[in-house]
Parts: sequence; C-alpha cells; structure tokens
Amino acid sequence: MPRLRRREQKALKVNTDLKLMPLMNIIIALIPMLLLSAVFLEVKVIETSLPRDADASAAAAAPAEPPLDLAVFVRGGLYVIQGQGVDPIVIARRPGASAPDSAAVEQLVRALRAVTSRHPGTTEVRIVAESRTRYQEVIALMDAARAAGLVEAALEGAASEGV
Amino acid sequence: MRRRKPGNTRIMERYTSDGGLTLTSMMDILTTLLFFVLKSYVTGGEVTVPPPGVTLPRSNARADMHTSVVVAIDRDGIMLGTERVATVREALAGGDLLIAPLAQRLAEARAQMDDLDRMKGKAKTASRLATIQGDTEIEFRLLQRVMYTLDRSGFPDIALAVLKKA
Repeated sequence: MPRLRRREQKALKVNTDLKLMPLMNIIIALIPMLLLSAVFLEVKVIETSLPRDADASAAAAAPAEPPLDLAVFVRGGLYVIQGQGVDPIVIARRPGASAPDSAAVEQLVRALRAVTSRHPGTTEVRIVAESRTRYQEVIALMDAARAAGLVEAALEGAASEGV
Repeated sequence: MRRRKPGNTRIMERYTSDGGLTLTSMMDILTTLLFFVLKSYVTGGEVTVPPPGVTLPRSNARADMHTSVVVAIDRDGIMLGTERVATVREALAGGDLLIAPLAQRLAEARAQMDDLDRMKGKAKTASRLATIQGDTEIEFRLLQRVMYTLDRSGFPDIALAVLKKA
C-alpha cells in the first residue's frame, strides 16, 4: 500500500520550473534588431547665426560702454583675437591644415578666457574665417570659444566676402 | 526482490543534472543588454544619419538635434533633404552670395510648412530652424553662401550638425 502511494505521488509531480525558452526567443530576436537600428555615433548641433547689423542693435540698446565686439580672425598662418579695448593676440596657425593642432587650440582657449575674465558677461564672439578655411577648423574654433565661455559664436567671411 | 543500490551511486544520482541548460544567467545578460539598448533610444534627441559622402566634423557640442529642414553639403554639391539642388560649382559661381536653386527649394519647403501649420491651426512662425550637415573638408565660402541663403529664405536659426567627440 505505501509503495502504491509513492508511485501515485511520482506520477502527479508537477514541473514548477519557469518556461524561459519563449522569452529567450523573443529577446534574442529583439536584441539584434535593436542593435542594427541603434545609432552609436551621436549627432549633436551647434546653434549659430550670421552676424546681425551692429548699428541696429546698438541703437536699440544704447549701452554706456562701447561693445567688446570680440572676434577671432583666421589669417594665413595666424589666428588673431581682436576686440574693442583688447590688444590683438596672435597665435600661430598651420596654414592649409584642415584643423588647428591641440597646442593652438589650448592657446586660443587660454587667450579667450583671459579676455572673458576681464570682461565678465561676454558671451558673443565672431569667427572671421577665410574663404578657403575648412569646415572642421571653423568648428574647432567654435569649440575653443565655447570652452572659454563664449557660447554665442557667429560666423563671418573675411574682407571681400563679408556677409 | 529489488536489489539495493550502492551508496555512492545514490549520491551521484542526486547531484547529476537532468541535461537541461541553465538559462537564468543568460537571461540576466540579455535583459541587461535589452535595457541598455532601449535606454540609448530614449536618451537621444532627434535621430539622424548623415547622407553618404558626408563626414561630419567632430565637436564637444552637447545640444541635441531638433526637427528641422536639413541641408547637406558634400564635396560635390548641396542637398535639401535627399534631393540634390545644386553643385558646388553652381553654388560658388557669380558674385552673389545667394544660391538661387537652393533659395527656390527652401521657399517651397517653407510654403509647405506654413500650409501644414495653418491646417493644424498654429500661428505663422516668423523664423524657422535649419540644420546644416556639412562635410569636414568643405570650404568656408560654400558654408557661408548656404548660411546666407538660409537666412534670406526665412531660416535665420541655423544649427551645424556635428559628431560628439568621445
């Protein structure tokens, strides 16, 4: 009799393990699909504009002090930082290079920081590039300006092609 | 009469698995991976892929991309969306900074946007955002002309698309 009961118990034993295989199948199908459509290179943006008419804004605001009008010029083998009441700062540039080297970028950031520390609240800068300046170099200059706290960078063409 | 099994055999039977895979640890890995991939979708802004032939410059900019008109500039020409509207030679020809074919297509795009806004009952927007996806090697004079054309065509807010530096 006790032997019979043990047999019945064996026959009625229910497998309580979770059935993970269907879930596994879904996840294994889902992961490659998501990975294939994922974007690993993040695209960001730099907001910019063309320089506005200085006379119009000056007339509207009528500031007590003349505006700083800070600008970074790209000129042949040089970067020149100029502004109202700021002694021009000259930094060497590799002519024809598609982007400034790290030493030049560091010098630019340091020089621009020195200007912004003397003129707190300054956030605007003009990047005045030559017609043949490469886009990567323009972006690198905007990065340097932003690192120095000049978050509003406007792009401008040098001399004859000025907008 | 049943013969009694030796002691060590009984112990072996107790500890031997039934041959099934242990899936719990694999499930843990896959679930973590799934959350990681889903998170990368949630945190990103507007997802965009630069057109073939355009290598975006690298920058430490942090601002996310917003829905806007996209003008792509590669070494051969200028594209509005997926349509090529002008070649580099055409864009740089003449003394005028305005690129006529691009301006024409932008005017059409703007008119379409205004129509859509009207249908949705939104007020007319004075200025609109445009994103430039430029190749690293394009010259500034070309970028400048595209920016000038965008500004004159009612897109004064310009965003330059870049790849985030690692």
